[in-house]
Amino acid sequence: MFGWAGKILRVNLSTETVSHLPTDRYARKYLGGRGIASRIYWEEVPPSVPALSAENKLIFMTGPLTGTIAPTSARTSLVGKAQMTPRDHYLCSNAGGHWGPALKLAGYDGLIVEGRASHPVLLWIEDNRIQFHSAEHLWGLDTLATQQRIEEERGAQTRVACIGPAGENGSKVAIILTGDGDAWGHGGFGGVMGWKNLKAIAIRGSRGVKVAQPQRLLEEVALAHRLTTCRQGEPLPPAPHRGQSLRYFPEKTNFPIPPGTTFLLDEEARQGSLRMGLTACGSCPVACAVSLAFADGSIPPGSVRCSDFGGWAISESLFSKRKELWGRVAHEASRTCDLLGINVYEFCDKWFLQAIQTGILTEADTGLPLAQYGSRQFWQTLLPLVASNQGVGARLARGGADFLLRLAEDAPEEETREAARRLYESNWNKDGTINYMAEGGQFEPEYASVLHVVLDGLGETGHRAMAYQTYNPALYHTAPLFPYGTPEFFQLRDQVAEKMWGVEHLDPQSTWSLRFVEWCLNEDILCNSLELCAWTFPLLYSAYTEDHQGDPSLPARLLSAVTGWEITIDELHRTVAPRIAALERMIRCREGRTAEDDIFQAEVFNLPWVQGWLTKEKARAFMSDFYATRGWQRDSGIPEQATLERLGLEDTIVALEGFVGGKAQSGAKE
Amino acid sequence: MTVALKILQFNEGLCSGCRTCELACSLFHEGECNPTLARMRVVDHEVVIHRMVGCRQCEDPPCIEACPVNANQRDPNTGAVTTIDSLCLGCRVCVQACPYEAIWFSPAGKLLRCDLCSGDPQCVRFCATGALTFKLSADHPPKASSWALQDLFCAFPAKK
Repeated sequence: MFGWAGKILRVNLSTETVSHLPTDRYARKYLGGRGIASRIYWEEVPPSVPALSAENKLIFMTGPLTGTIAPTSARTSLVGKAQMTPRDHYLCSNAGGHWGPALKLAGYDGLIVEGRASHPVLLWIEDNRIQFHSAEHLWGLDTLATQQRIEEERGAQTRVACIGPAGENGSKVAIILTGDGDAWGHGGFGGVMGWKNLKAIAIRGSRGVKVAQPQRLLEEVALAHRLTTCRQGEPLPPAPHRGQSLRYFPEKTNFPIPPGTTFLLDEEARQGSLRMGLTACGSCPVACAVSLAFADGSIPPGSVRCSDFGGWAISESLFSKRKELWGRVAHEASRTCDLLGINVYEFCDKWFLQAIQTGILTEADTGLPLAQYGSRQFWQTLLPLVASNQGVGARLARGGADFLLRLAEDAPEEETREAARRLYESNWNKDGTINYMAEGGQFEPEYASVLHVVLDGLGETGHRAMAYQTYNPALYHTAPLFPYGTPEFFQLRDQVAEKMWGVEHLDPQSTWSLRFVEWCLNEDILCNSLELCAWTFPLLYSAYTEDHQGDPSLPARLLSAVTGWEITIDELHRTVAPRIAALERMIRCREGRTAEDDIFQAEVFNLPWVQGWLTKEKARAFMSDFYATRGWQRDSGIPEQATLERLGLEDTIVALEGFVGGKAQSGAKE
Repeated sequence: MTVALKILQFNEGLCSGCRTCELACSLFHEGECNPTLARMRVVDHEVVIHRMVGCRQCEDPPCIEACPVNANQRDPNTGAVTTIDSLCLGCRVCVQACPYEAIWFSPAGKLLRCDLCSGDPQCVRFCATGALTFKLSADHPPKASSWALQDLFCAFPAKK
């Protein structure tokens, strides 16, 4: 096969056995990545399986473009039963780096990890050689030391995905990290991996990805590069979000960082006490991340991206009362999360600060130096407690949602219970994914975000990228040429809207948004299945073309050049994307999701920036209309039988019998 | 007479480690995306530092001297050191001789070395950060340099 390696590797940790699954059973129908992984999940992980169980699976899938020169194609999806509050459910996480290409180069499109090892294990994959090694000597090591140790033992250019102490302890906030800072962050899959006693998956591959049309691929990639960056020496800025998008934020959005703010680590780099460079995932021309190596070695070297910045930097300046942002304290805190294997978003998010400010967290109850919030002492006290499940860390390691929900039930004072409930409801959706509406005021209120934050239900920031970058050309591709909110900004956006969807003016709150939202969600699915970066594609805008329009047909053309399968982006939008969307919806319905779960928690409608444009009734009506657009039942959101037939999902219809009244019954037919 | 030369340079301060160059190289030469078939490599030197390994077009190339059958030759038209595959015995003496470890063999036994893509190096074409450049340089004599932040690689006569 061109593009796909041809087989998916299956390893069972309980029996230490290995088998294979042919990729062509899934390739044309589900593409790869999120699509194929979700299909395998549908077939193999029933609703009754808890996240922490030998029956749960970690399904890693690359896409047909992974391992090729197609820009940003080095990503890998991970699907499994995630540890969510209030209940475990299906989730797809996605990471970049270089691990996915290594898996592909070893000859595998994906990896299914099943069972549970009796002792700590390192899974070693070197082409045909699959081995289970003891990882007793790695247990307890942080993610950097683990990878260095494995490289010493297995040789350089070994690609490792591993967990830190947080994952070993089964934490709900534990990540699986690869390289110097890329991670499958959401869903607590690090804890699932730790529960399975799997410390690391190390890969070295020596095969290639066969390409159907090499010359055409080179030309398509050259075009994609032209749209995303400029050549050296050209009188244009480099890729707008190169080298950490965060430093462009002041100009691009109304993110609460005033323009002209000094970044302390940039200052250190200029003075020479720190070496700063670019870091990119495999095959990426953008290089959004920055690598940092301190001359005095006081903080371990590694790379940071926007996820490591926002809340940490703000917490640091809150404590220091200085206007400057992003100093050593913030960087060390986010780096410590990476090393310990903790999701960087969990504690830098607003909820944690609000919990302190509103008195939900107290020094007496937690034993934490809360008055020192944002200081080095604070983070270096808190994070090791979380990773090791000690003291208040044991409660926080279950995640903010779980922590607050328990307080809302058990706190001795009525006032605390009520405050915890409100904070929980405004920051998390009913399925336990983070609700970014709570961030408030950063972006225009629009129906697209309503759908993205609730319906998509994947809970990963990458998945909101699509709506944001589509609505907001000031972000990423055309920044800083089109500052947020200027007339030029709106003009460009309307031009693209007219071309793409035939509407004269892109009004975020009009009903035509249904089509737009469907397009965004489809594009999101395609990106995560081809394995392209959802922060870079669909390339609707470009800083480097005369009319500043991009070329959203590129993903399909890259797919054709790599695989030889001639298919257009429109066909992918009509067939593959809705098929995967319906399949994911079937999975969620089978796990008990109802239309009610697609509506924000009550507290969200009381947020000041939501009041006035969105009511619960409006949200429900919009959601109903959207179900109809998808060919799902208007009231329940369950896919219609005819829709499943049309999309080639006939074999899933039998499961519909189990979804009585929009609720999956226990013992539903598989 | 001084000949104007185009020089392939690698600036490690700009390299993001994306390895697009390796894939461009193998796709262009071998028709597939496979880093083990690339004629140049980017290696992780430290956790966040990348370095390039590739032919430096030595003025007095040890690989030419070492080859028992004269398969390694300097192309009289381009000035680039190249290998004539039909002459190569596969004895790997040049692999030993190269001080930069810039020559290797594919798993199938084919000698792989940079040939500057006949004057349009694909690694440079697809380097998005500008870490790799190929341009006329009067400042840099075409001598093999020691490892430095800005590494000089190859000399290539500029087209008039």
